[in-house]
Amino acid sequence: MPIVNEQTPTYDDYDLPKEVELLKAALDERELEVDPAFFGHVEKGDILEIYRFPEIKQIYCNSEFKKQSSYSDEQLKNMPFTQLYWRSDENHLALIKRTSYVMENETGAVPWNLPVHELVESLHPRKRTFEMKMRWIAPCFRKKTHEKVGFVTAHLALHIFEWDEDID
Amino acid sequence: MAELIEKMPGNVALFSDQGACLAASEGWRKEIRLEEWLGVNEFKISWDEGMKRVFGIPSSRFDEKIFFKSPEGRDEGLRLRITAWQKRTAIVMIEGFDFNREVLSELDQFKTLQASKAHYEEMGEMAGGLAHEINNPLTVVLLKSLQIKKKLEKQSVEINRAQMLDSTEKIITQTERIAKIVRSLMNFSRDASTDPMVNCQVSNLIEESVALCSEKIRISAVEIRQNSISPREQVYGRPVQLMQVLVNILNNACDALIGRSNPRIEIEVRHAEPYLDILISDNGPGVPPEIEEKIFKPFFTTKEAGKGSGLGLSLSYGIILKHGGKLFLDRERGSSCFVIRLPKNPP
Repeated sequence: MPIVNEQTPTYDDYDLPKEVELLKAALDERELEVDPAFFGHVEKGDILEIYRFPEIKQIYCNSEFKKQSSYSDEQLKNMPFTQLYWRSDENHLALIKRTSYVMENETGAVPWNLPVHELVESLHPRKRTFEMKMRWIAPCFRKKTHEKVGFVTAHLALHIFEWDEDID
Repeated sequence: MAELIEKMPGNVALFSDQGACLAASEGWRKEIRLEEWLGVNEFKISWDEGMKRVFGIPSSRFDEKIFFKSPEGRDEGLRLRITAWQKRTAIVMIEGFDFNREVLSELDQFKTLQASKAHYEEMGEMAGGLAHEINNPLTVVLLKSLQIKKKLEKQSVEINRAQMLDSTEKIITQTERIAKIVRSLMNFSRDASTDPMVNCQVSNLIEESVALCSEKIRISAVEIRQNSISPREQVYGRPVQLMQVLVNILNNACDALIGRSNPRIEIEVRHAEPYLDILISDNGPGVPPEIEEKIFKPFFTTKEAGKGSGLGLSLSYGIILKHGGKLFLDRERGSSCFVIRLPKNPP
């Protein structure tokens, strides 16, 4: 039988202040800044990532992401997220539109405003699947030029499904 | 050697490994328009391949028949023979063919072979991607079905109707999506060159073509915008061949949009009596004016090596021409608006 998980994790080993500090350090290291309000929205269990825009390539992820993801650093570095992950058409389009809207019109941290949905790791042979609760997004600015060059995101991902054998 | 070459009959020349012509026969000087031909991709590919192969290998030879359209659009058929002379020089002989029936039939066979090769390459590339487009939604279908089953098995759990409806809705949507992709792929994989011409519903052609490009559309994060195309809009043609053209143009548009902000493809139809135009435009960088003339020629490609045969648009051009229509760029609507003009009715 394929693996179906319905248990919500407790995130006991999630060190919230440390995760926020690491995210701040990652932004500093890349000479980026975001609306400080974003850090206040981070909660236990959140996956935290920084993406370049418009390429939508991940440049930072926290330990929670690494714990859940099956992808190698190479795959994450070289492949567009649209090739790595699959969402249903309406969620895929809504996510792209929301990202573009935020990058064009917002300066501060805003909610993702997307419904809870399934995300499939496209290249995982057993199609590892997560239930996604997209929470907050904020544009990243280059410190020197104040140019918008990416975004940070906070979301919860619950590993809910995998086929019991390779299907790809 | 140079003197000997200059006195030789026929089209013979001596070249250095740097590409310089060191000597040429009178025939070569009068008849061979090498510089012009090197501007034509199918000729250049054979030329470069031949030169690369013979240099540095004593006594090696490259022999190939090349069929290509001359810059004036005339069919040319040539035998290109490149023989290593010394380490850094090669003798090149170009023998012209008369276009007698035998050669023309060879040319036709060559073109058919190239066309089916390009079609199968395109299908192979697409099938790999579409496997994900089938297996991913299938994953959601199985997940949702198992979740429902688990809930129904536990008698103590109260059934949440809204949640149940949401799950079944997802199963239906994704199953329909899979069915659409499989149907389109089965249609597309047939050899349709001898199919009868029929009245085709344009909205269906577009829907099936978009389904076949779904992986590329997703990866390029492209939004497809369509004005409402009435099911009454029809063109006269071979549906699978017309899908081949649409898929080619849509795939090219997706490639051009990778990494762009708000990537978008717009599809619309317009009446141009007695024709119907299908317009496909994107907000990518467009086709630069300096290559506009070349894009419909065989083997012309702007994609990096190994990413496209350079035959897609030229085959599409040929298909539409055989339908009594026209494939062109509408510059008035921007630099990347392709128009497929097709007759609405049988001639």
